[in-house]
Amino acid sequence: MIRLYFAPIVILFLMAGCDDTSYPFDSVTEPFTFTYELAADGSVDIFVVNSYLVIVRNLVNDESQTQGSHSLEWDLQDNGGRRVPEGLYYIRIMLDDELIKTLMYEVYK
Amino acid sequence: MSALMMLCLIFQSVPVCEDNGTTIRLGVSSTASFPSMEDEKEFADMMNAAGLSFELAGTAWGGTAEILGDLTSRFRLRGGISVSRLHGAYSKGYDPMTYIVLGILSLGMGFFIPQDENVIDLNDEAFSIETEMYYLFSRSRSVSFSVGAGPMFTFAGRRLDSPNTSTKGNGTGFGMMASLRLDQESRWKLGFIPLMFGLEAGYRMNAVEIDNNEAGDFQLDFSGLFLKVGSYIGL
Repeated sequence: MIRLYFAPIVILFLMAGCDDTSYPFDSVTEPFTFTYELAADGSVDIFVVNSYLVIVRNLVNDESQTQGSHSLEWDLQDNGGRRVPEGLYYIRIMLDDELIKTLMYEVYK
Repeated sequence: MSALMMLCLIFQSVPVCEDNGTTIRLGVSSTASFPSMEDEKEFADMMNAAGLSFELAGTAWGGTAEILGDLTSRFRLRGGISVSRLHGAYSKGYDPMTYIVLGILSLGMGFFIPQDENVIDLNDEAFSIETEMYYLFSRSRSVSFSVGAGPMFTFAGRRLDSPNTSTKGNGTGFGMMASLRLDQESRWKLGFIPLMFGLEAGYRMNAVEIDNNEAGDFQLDFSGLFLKVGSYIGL
């Protein structure tokens, strides 16, 4: 009986321990910098897509970049200079018109 | 369809099965549909490209409350209100070892806690008002076989939940549906309730554009094949 009495406490304790919030995406509330790797020199396009597949921001347009690591900031604004609404956003990186990387971010206030 | 025929044969063989004077039947049906959802599939691909194992269901489940009435011996009209739901999710499972330890230490109670947690949860829903006219090209005392078509109007909604955000969008749109129906024409009495069964298979054309500003031309496309099984009270 005593053990049963403690069972809910043990469950709650372990549930708290199980609450692993390490997701394969970042949650952001303010401008942030992301990095990406280019396997070769080429023409780069980087844009931000919302969860309705709409491009809300063009970060890099047809820019020649060299092989290696690069970083870039997104200020959480759309092409009109407004802060994007809360939600999920995807930064898509294209090299020579080929998608090489998609990064997902959860934007909230 | 063969299942319904067997059902009718069974009911025909019991003494309570009656010949039918029914012109109106009122009931509910369960529906499985296979919507195309091209935009949602593209969204799921984008999620997967971002490194998440996002699973979008292929089958939308739902139900319909409907009324069928015979206009003549050859024509039947159906009106209904239906709901259909498609689900998608990215789930994260607890560490198996932790889950087992949790289960043991809690004397088994921990095993009742779901092992997965939906981190990203997508729900697409369609609420439709449907009407369909059928031509009965075969009708016996036990079953009828009909083909029909008609318009529908849909209120659709999309909800995408993440740990800290919730994105909602909705829209409305007209659609069409065409189908084949197999209906029981005899009545089986369950006590005083005259029961009848029906089976329907068809195709629904029904794409709804989300109205929100940020949604662009994103569509919830519920178009696709559907299968429906219903039970009715004959009046």
